[in-house]
Amino acid sequence: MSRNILLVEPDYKTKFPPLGLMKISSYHKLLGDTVHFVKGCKVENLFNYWDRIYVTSLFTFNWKTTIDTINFYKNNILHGDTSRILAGGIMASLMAEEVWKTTGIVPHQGVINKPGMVGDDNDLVIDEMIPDYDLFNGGNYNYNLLDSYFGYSTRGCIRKCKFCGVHKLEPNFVEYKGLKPFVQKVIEKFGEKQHLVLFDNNILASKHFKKIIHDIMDLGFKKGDKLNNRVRYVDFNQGTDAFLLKKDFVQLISQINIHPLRIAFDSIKDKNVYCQKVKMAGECGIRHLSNYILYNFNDGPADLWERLKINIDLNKQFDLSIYSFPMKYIPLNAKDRSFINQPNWNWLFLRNVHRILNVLKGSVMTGEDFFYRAFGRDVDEFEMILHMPENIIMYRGKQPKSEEKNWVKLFKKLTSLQKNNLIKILSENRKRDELRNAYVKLSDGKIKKILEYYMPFEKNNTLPLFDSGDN
Amino acid sequence: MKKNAQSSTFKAGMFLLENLTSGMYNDPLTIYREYIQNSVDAIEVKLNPKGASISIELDPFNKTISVSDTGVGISSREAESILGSIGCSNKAETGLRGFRGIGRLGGLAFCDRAIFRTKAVGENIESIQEWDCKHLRHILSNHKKTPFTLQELFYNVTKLYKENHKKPDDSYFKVTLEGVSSFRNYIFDIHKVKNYISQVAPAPLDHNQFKFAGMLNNYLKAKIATYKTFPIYLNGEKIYKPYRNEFRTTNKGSDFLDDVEPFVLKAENQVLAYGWYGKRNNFLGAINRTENIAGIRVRAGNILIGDAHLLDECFREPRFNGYVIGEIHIVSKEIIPNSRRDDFVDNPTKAFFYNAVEKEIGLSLSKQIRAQSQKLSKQKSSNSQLPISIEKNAPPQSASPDQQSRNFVKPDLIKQTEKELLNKIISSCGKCAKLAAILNIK
Repeated sequence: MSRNILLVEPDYKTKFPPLGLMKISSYHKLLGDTVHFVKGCKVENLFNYWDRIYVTSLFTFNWKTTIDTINFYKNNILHGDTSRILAGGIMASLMAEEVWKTTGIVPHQGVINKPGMVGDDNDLVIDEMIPDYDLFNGGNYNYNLLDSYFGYSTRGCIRKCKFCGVHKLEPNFVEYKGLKPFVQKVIEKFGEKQHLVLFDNNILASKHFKKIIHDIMDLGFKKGDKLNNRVRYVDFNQGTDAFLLKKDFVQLISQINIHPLRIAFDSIKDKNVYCQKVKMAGECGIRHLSNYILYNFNDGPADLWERLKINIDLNKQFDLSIYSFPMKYIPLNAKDRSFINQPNWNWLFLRNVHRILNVLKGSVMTGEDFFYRAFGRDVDEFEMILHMPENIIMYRGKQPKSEEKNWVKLFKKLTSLQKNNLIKILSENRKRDELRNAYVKLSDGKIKKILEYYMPFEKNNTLPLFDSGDN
Repeated sequence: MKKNAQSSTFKAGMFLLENLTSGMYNDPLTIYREYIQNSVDAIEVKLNPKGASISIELDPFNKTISVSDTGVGISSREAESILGSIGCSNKAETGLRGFRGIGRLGGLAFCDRAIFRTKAVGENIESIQEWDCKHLRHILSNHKKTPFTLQELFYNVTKLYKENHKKPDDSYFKVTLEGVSSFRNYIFDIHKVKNYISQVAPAPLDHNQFKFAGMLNNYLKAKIATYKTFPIYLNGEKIYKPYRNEFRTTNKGSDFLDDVEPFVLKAENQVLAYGWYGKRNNFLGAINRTENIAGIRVRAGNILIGDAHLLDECFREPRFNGYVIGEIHIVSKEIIPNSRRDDFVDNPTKAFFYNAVEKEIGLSLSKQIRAQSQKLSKQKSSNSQLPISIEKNAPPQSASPDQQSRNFVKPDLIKQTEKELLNKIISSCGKCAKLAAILNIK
């Protein structure tokens, strides 16, 4: 009997389409069920009968949105019936017990890679399904990748890094999953796709890496291969492990349309290995590189600046185009993004790194001059920039304007104790009113003077400025 | 004839067990009540019950539930006769809560395997009884043509054994249910379970949330010699009764209690029960049912009988019971809970009890609710003469009184409109920030 299936992605921001739901969709369509996809909590779904509702999840810091979505469908549509709602995905797997305690729903943990895991009596394995590219038809969802084959050629990872959840989500390393039959089936069902994006967590750890590269080449992604007159790119989206990037692997990779080659640079301690591997890539003709830079973990601002600078130098030295993607560390069980690795980092510094990256749209460009202006010529200048008020840091332009110059003058007069105080005041008084009150109470004239730069909103206000109650 | 009668055989068939397990409880959560009840009794008869508690652990990831207590436990000498019997409780004349000897069977319908582990103080032996519930269900559904006797079935699906235990001072009874599943998985919905236990179990009142907790405790202890509460933990969290000072009402407002009123229910000078009800401040609307406190609840041995609606018929309109908060603690031994604990055994005292509730409580509270409702209707009609557009929100003429009171949200509206008017006045005397500050207008 045909069933009515609702697939829900909570209304958090995401670039990529929910691959798990796409596979679940194919699974149900294969069984003759009707599948409907929805983003977030939609009231129109209240008036349909749903045999089963799947809610996916992604980052743990989207906790509230995800929990609210689960509760919305559980309470409003299923009237508390937890047997017809399945929660899964990354957050639900990593925080299964908390999800259960908060919603009453026992989430599915990890990959659905065995038959019967969603409670049906058949031999189908959802993880083996071809993702349903038609799932989002008719909706206005703007997902990337829908013109790409995307999936996995391996599963899991050989490492157990503290900052990463893969070893919990996919505890077994699967060395090889045939890409060719997968792509072939996508072509049969949905037609040819332009690019290939692999989400392998540590593709270089596979002893079949050579075979994987040959598969990729056979699928039409050799260096220079095109489709419809456009180059077809290959992206190992989760990055490659610099420690496993041997010469013969780099040579293999250079034979495909890799764009970009992503290499992780998680710690300044890996500097030598990283530089050596980037140089090797350059020598093999791979010019476009991308670099995940973990910060707010065991590092400090100086570490971050140095790693960014290394990329700028490597670009210059070997004529490369390395884009850096600083990624802020958030613990695997954090329910929001507020984590601060104190004392190396503080709220203001993290906020300002974020502000700089906002201007740059997330990635750090390759140009030297631009880098120096955005991040400073040295660590000290970077640290000064991290103290700047929002309106200065975000609108700096190529040349400093008078407001910035004046702020720098004032900043340079501060002692390190005063600088710490400034950070403390700004970190503890994030709201307009709080900051105003802190300003009023402050007795240190120098800090008071510079603090005015952090309150531009007061200037056009009709209420008396910084009213201390004396009029 | 006499001789013949003696030699005629009596046979208790296997389906009796089905009646006591899957046939007994339609709500799977009831098993928590049954096990808590046994645990409470075990703590009650313990010589030194200080520190004894009840722990319920839900592990939905391994489909396991356990309920354990550090009560008196069962000695290895008695284990076989107690665990090996059904419906022969030795508690019948003790005044304890469980007395039929069937409560521990409640979980069998919802699991694949049930394990009872118990031990008494002073011995090094733990007695363990295992029930193969999968096998039990298999026999019940596949041997219909040649049914087993109850005894045969029992021997087929249970085993009793003993294990050494290192802590002679411990005493406990622990129920572990493995391979648990239930309709709509309610049995593992920890919110549902918590709500259920907090309303049903003899948990304490929460002094932090309910300012009358101390007073009610003293009153109930003074009046009812057996009144007790017990520390009950659900996955480590202590459970309290849900009563609290403030609560939401169905008209999207809230209300609080001004006071609580103790009362006694009697029939022909015999005390049937002691109770209390809360005196609501505004009495606007029924209490939101998600608050889990609405209705005068009936308790025997401080364990809930039935649900929030047991006494609905004692009110002039059944829904009025949803407007009030309170408890009735049965003290008469002639008011006997039925096997399912959803009502009382049919007898004359039951009728006396229900009549007394109607007469002493239901009627007077119904009158108050009705009076409040009429007062609101009057207010409504006088409000409608105000030059304020609130007609849009007025209920249609045909709306029921209940709907009318639910739609009665005008006090808020008026407040809002007053503010708007005030704003207009202020704006007409110039934008004086100081005046605004004085009047606290934003």
